[in-house]
Amino acid sequence: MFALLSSFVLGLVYWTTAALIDRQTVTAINTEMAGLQDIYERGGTASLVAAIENRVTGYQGYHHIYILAPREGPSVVGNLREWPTVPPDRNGWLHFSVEAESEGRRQVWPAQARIVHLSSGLWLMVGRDMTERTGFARIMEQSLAFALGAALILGVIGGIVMSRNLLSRIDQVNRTARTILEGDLSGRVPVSGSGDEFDRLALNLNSMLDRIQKLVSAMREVTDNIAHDLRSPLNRMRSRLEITLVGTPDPDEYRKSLEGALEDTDAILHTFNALLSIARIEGRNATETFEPVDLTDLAAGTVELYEPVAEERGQTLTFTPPDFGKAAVVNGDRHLLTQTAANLVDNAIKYTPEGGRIRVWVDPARDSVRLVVADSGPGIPEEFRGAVLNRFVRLEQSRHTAGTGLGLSLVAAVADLHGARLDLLDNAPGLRVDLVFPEKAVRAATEAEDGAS
Amino acid sequence: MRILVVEDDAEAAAYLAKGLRESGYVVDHADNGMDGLYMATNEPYDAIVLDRMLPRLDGLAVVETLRKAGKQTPVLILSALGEVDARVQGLRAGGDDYLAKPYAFSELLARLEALLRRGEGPTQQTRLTVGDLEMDLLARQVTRSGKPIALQPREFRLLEYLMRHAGQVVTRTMLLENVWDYHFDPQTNVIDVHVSRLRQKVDKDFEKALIHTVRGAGYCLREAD
Repeated sequence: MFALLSSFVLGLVYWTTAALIDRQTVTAINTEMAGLQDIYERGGTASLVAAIENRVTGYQGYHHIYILAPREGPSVVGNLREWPTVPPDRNGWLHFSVEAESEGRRQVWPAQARIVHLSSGLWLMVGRDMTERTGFARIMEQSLAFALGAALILGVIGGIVMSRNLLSRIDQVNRTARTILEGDLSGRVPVSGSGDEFDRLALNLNSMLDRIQKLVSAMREVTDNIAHDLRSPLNRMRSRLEITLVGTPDPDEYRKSLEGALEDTDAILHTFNALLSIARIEGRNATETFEPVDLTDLAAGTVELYEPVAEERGQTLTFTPPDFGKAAVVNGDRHLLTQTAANLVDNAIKYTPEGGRIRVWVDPARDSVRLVVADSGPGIPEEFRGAVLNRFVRLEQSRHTAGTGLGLSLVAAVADLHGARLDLLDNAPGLRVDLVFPEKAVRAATEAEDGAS
Repeated sequence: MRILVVEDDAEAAAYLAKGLRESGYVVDHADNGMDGLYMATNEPYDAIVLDRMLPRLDGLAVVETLRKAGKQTPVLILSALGEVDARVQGLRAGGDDYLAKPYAFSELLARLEALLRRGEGPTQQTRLTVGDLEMDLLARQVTRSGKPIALQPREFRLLEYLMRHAGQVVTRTMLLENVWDYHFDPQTNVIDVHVSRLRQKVDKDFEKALIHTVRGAGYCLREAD
């Protein structure tokens, strides 16, 4: 391809240059011819002969060729003795060779000429030596051949180098894939930094691998957590049943033991279900169950559900709706959001001491909507705020409280699914949890509502 | 009462059948969807307990076919898929109730009994009565032995549900689903608090309690035995 292109360009240069030289030769001959005819018309044959003689005398070589002669017979004057034997072409031009002695050697020159019939009955021929033109052609041919060869060689070498480079980069991808297949998930495709297609491929593969690694480690974490949190109650249940069997047979004892085992099973199932729903929410990316959800209704409903629980514990649980006329509608999964609000309120009630105060409110701003649950409990020290969002993390001080320790992880997973931010703030005293829905969720809800109406 | 259990796990089916027989039901068992559909179409069952994932014919397809054939037998779908979406699918296919595995037998029994009794009595009742407790659904008033009892709207709905299912065990999940329309497992037992509040108003000043706690299952509103 490269060779073809370069020979095409060189061919073009050759062709245009040759045409230019040809045109110059023709013009020169025509001008000279016109000049001589002018001399003839003004001074007759004698002047013409003198002029040609003047041009030929002392002039070596055949750069300029002149003959003044009758149609048949020897020349009257000029540097060529005989008429060339070739016939003129369609435009009246003669292309012929001149043979002559020059510098002691016989040489042949190519030449081009025109013949004019003068009124005196003589014929005048003016011509030019075409050596330059032919020489140029030869040089061009040579350079063309050379360029073609060079282009071919360079092209082949370049091709080899390029495919080598290509193959080595594909091989890097292959090597990375192999390390990962061998179980080392930390392998990444090297990025050359040139920003080409290969770099983009490498970057995409790497971010895919990052995501996979994150998912795998999350799964490993789930497995570890299941092992950790389910093993102890399972073990407790097993011991309970085993000891009952070993002891003396007693129906009352049996019944008590079975009831205890049933309670253990329920607790285990509870934890298991909570883990499963978190894993499902985290693994989900479809928003097909999303619909416009009014956070005001949702929060009010949750507070209504938990209000008696708070009252029983001597706490006040209140909900403040947004200012009249302000909508707090977001695009989301109704059930998951309800469960999220319930978990937040549930946690607040659980960790706030008797006589405490829990406030829930919805704050629709111009570009986001906030669902806030604030309590007057002990709060969470700043350094632990990140950790509590992880599964099973329960601060040492709350170990004695009932629950799976999965409430906030579920909230975090639901927030993530909705593109919402979960902020744990200091309520001074107490904890304030802000679930901040971005403008996107609010806008999507508005659009969905507009579409429905 | 005759119940059809369609469940491919032989052991689970055996336990379920045993439990139901002990509760006084006659139980038939099919271990695949095709047989289940055949039996459900040709025998007069009072209710069907149907596993969702079945060999030969999927549980949802069984319900759909049954409903298209005009059979209105109440169907309780059992499934290992506990998500809300899965539940909606099950109900949309024609199921009457949906229970996620693993379930408590008491929960299944309570739901099944609710399904069996649903057909009984006029649905357009304007007045519910259990013993000396009366509820006027139109005036939205409750009296016990003639004395009016003031209830919050939610308490009213809770009591209404209990009265409509008088004599049956209703579980906490059934209450959460039917009175609050919440389909999740709350960590704290919020329902207990609501019921105890209701008890304060309905039972406290009276000699006989009407709202009873059924251990390990839920609640039951009935005249004292």
